[in-house]
Amino acid sequence: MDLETADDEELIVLVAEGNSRAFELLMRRNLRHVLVLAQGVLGNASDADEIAQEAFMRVWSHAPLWQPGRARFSTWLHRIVLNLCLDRRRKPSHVGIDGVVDRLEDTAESPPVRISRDEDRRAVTTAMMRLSERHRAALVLFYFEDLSTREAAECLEIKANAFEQLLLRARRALKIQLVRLGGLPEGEG
Amino acid sequence: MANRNFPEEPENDAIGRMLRDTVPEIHSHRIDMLTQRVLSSIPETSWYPIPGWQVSAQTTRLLYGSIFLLGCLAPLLGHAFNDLSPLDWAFSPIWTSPY
Repeated sequence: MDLETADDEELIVLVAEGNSRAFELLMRRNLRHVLVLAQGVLGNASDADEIAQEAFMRVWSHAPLWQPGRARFSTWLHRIVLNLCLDRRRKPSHVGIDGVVDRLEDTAESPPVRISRDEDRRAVTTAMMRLSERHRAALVLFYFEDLSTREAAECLEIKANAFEQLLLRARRALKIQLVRLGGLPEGEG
Repeated sequence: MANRNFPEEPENDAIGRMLRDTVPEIHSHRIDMLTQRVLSSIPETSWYPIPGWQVSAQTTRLLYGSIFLLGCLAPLLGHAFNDLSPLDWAFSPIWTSPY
């Protein structure tokens, strides 16, 4: 089998047989999504890195338990990451704005535009950290990961209409926090 | 990025726009570093004695080592408990054994 053209579900079967090349490919394809999800939920890059490592170690050790056709690999991986994030949030940790700092270093935007956009990002990051884990997870899956309501609902193991309600409540909670922080004029959003 | 809107979200929704602008940027060097870190910490080989049960190479070595040691010790134990010489015990056919 040509590994480069194999899909994730075919690669995880090879990983279950101990194929480390298939594992590397699977990791390179999915690591960005894992980091975006973990960093969005936890709010800082160093915790997200640790979660990503732990998640892929779990993929390696749990690959033999993978059941083809039961769920997509990406859904399974998202669930692993979310569970690890929720476990991590129960432990005390610092809240950072590393993602914003990364952008400050690399962006090619003109300074006034950049400052305005970074203020918005900082406000959103701070407001998100004041939400519950489930609200934050819903926002990250839908807006950061760009999943459909059905896909995001599967990751959270709830029904699609329950996810829509959760997302609605998360948006309302975020709006309240943004207004309090002055990042959003009243009536907008 | 696909323009997926939440059913109750207007097209020019400010919160949705701000959230989509806040997606963390992940650099490729970070992906390379993490990939190498994970690859270096996975066990070199794995063994699957029964489906769904994976043990590391170290556990495999320990298990096979124990079986080998037991094989070596069996003649000595036979000698100690049954008054047979270790060589007799180890090499005599089963039908000549006193059991």
